[in-house]
Amino acid sequence: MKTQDRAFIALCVVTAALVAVSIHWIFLEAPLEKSGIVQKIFYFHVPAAYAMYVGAAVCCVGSVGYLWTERVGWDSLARAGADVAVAMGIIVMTTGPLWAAKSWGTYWKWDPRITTSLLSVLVYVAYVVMRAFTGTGDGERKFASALGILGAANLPIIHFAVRKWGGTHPEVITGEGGGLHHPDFVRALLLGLSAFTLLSIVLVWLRTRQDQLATRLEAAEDEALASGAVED
Amino acid sequence: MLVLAGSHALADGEAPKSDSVESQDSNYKAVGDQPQIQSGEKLVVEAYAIIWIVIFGFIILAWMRTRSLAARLDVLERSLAKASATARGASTSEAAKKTDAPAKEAAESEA
Repeated sequence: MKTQDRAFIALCVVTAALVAVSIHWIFLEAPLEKSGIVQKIFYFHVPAAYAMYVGAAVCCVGSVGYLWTERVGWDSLARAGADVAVAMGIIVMTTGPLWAAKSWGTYWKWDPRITTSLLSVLVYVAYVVMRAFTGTGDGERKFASALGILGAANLPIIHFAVRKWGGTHPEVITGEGGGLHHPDFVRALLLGLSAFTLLSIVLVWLRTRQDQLATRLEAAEDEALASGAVED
Repeated sequence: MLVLAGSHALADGEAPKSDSVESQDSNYKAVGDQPQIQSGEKLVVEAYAIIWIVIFGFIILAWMRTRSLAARLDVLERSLAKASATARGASTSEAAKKTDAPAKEAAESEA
């Protein structure tokens, strides 16, 4: 087994352990908040949003790297980042309304932060759908890279939407009204953030390797066809 | 940045007090005339179910992609093996022809 494979398996084991510890802490150690058990959604809703930022940032870095160097490895990284951004975005956009149902009495509100988050998720859904239904030529990759960079441009807007335009969504981490005054709340959140950061790294790694393998396989198939070694 | 902010909050946090939990700014903020939905347990179960469905869905999709790659690799390997066997057969018969030709010529000359 290669060192890279061993490192990947070790990372998976550490991630699974951290997720288990995180769930234990959230449900058995962190005290119940005033709004009740529904607040337990917060400990995975916020880390999922953070992991979506991680995926989007990876997509942006990969896109810039591909446009700069035209190396396919960067494109694989961008594609993996977009996949993770979509998966985490779906978690954010579904757990948020469930929490809001209890906290606000409604599942959805066109609040600035929620709307900009939805917009960002839709950009990455567009990226993933486009990659699935178009070819793997240089033109398609460059267009996708541009979309990857454009998607990242929305992230600061999401982050500062609450400060700039207000709205119902609380400013959880840095504001005063977020409800992180109890140390056990903070510990549970930090565990959730760590677990989801590692999880997003695992998923990006997995998808990047897969995409690189697919690219190598495609090149080998083309070469074999061109040399006449195999028939179409 | 979030982790640092959280660490800062942890550092600032004093010893756990029961009133610190109660003093959270988490009162019900109704939007419009919506009544408060009471079943928090159901909402939590739904949220955590969605989280794990999405994560396992991602892993299952990745596994299906891996299977598809493995199938393509199998086809390529079989085609390459077949092509190399054909090429080897052709080269062997050519070599046999080459080695047979001088012997035939010798036999003809002897005759």
